[in-house]
Amino acid sequence: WPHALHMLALMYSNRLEDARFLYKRCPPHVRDSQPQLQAAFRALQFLWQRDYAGLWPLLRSGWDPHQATLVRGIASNLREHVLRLVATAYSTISLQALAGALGATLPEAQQEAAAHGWELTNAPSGGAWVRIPPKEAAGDPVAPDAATLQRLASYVLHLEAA
Amino acid sequence: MEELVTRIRTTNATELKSILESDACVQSLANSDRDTLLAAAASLDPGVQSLGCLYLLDAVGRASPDTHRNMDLLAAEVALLENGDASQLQLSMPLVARLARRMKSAALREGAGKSALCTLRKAALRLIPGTKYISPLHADIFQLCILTKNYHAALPFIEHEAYDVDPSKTGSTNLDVLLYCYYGGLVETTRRRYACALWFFECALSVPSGVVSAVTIAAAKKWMLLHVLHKASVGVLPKSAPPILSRTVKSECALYLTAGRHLTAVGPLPDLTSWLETSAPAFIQDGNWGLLQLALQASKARAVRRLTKVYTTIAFEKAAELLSLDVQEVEPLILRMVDSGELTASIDQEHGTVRFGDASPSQVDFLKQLEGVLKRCMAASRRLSAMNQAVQLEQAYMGRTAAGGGAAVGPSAPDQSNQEERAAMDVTAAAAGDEAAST
Repeated sequence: WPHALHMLALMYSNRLEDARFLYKRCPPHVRDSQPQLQAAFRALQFLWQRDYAGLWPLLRSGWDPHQATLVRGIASNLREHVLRLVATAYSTISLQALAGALGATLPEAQQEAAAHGWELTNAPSGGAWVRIPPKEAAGDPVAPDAATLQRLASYVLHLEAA
Repeated sequence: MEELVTRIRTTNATELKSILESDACVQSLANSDRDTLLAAAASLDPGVQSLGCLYLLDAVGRASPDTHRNMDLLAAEVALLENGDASQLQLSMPLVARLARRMKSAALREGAGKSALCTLRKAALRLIPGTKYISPLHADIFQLCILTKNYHAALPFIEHEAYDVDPSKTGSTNLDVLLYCYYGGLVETTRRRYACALWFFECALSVPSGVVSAVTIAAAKKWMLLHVLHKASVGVLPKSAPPILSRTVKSECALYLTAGRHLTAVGPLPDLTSWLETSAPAFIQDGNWGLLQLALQASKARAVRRLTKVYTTIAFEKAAELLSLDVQEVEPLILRMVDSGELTASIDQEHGTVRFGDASPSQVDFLKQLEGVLKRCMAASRRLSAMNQAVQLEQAYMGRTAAGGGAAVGPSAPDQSNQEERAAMDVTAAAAGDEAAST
């Protein structure tokens, strides 16, 4: 059974719990004899602990060709997730920290910041700061429709009957 | 034995059950050797003569000590559970449960836990009359899920709320309900669905019993740690727990009560290093060390959330002092909490501060949650009304209310007294009508 491929597929689908149980189910002789499975498990550990900076070198290391596609998919999802997280969790972040979180070089991080409309300012001590504007809360459209009114009517009827 | 096999082939299931349970037949099966019984069972078709196979295999199982079981018996039991006629097997569910349990134990000894899990799942989905019934098979399935680490296999039996214990339909006993609740709680704890796990363990603590079992104590320990983890408080035993449990918990679970007090203390987090070192062996022996670590992490997260009630903006150094952490640990902790959705905050790395935001959930998510809760409440209300009606129609209940002279007993007594008043008024009106007619 292609255990490493199965685990990577679960990680790609963001089913980290199922990936963890899959590793626990693997017999010890399978775990010890498949280095790719060990590598996938290390990647899972980084993802589980949300240590994204530590995960990037592992994703860039050599993978088998039939696993490389899934690993590229995981890397792509991870990059989008980290960008969303940085936009939510930071008002200012150093360019170096942003590059580390994205697993990118400084020029690449600079390009990502510019693409998202984040301002770049130079720090007096060297380096650069990325300023992220606060996110505006999107209004949740809760437009009443026939189905909502139907449900509301059923709740009222139930309460009146009780 | 040949005569018995012939009768099994020619008699219908209902008559056959009474024949197989007669004293003479039971004695005959007990006196037969296991090879004869196994050969007789092998000569029958488990899909057609399921009831006969069941009794014969049960007799073989009772005659075979665990060390002398062989693969033929295991294969026959699996074939019966997977292919047996459901209508016949449902006539004798206690025997099915006993056979399933023996099959499970034998399969685990052979290292075939996953196969046993598949068999029991198929049997449970075919033989249990409805998803609302708790059966002995549930406990065995959950146990196999835990031992083989196939937790998703339990989903069909956990997603549907089971609340009916009917021994006549499922062969359940007190112990089966207790094990269902305990193992169900373990499965949900492993899947990190702590609210469901707490519900399972509370049900385990509420199972009526005159003595306190090891399973109940184990459930109480897990319940206490989960209460600290999920509800941030030291739990009070449910009112439905037997009185003997509340007396026993204080002595058996003293360490867990101490853990609860430490982890829910208000104020700066105490240094628990020395206490954890001395208490670790006890928690490890109980299999609760991982749960304790999770409760410890949750208490740190709660301490951060308490900061949001006092501070709008706080420096890393001040936060580290209040949380008893190193300064370098503050930013990763807050980032992890924002990532998991536990906190709304904005980190200013340039000035080394954190600004806490409003943690209100989105309106759509809130409405979805509210709708889910309302649906469950309505379903529970309908079940309660059905149970109330079933109680009122019970002979024993009607007998007691009649013997009590129509006294107010039970929740529907006002309705009953109203009906009696109306009946009395009808009689009075009829009598008045007769008088009017006569005059």
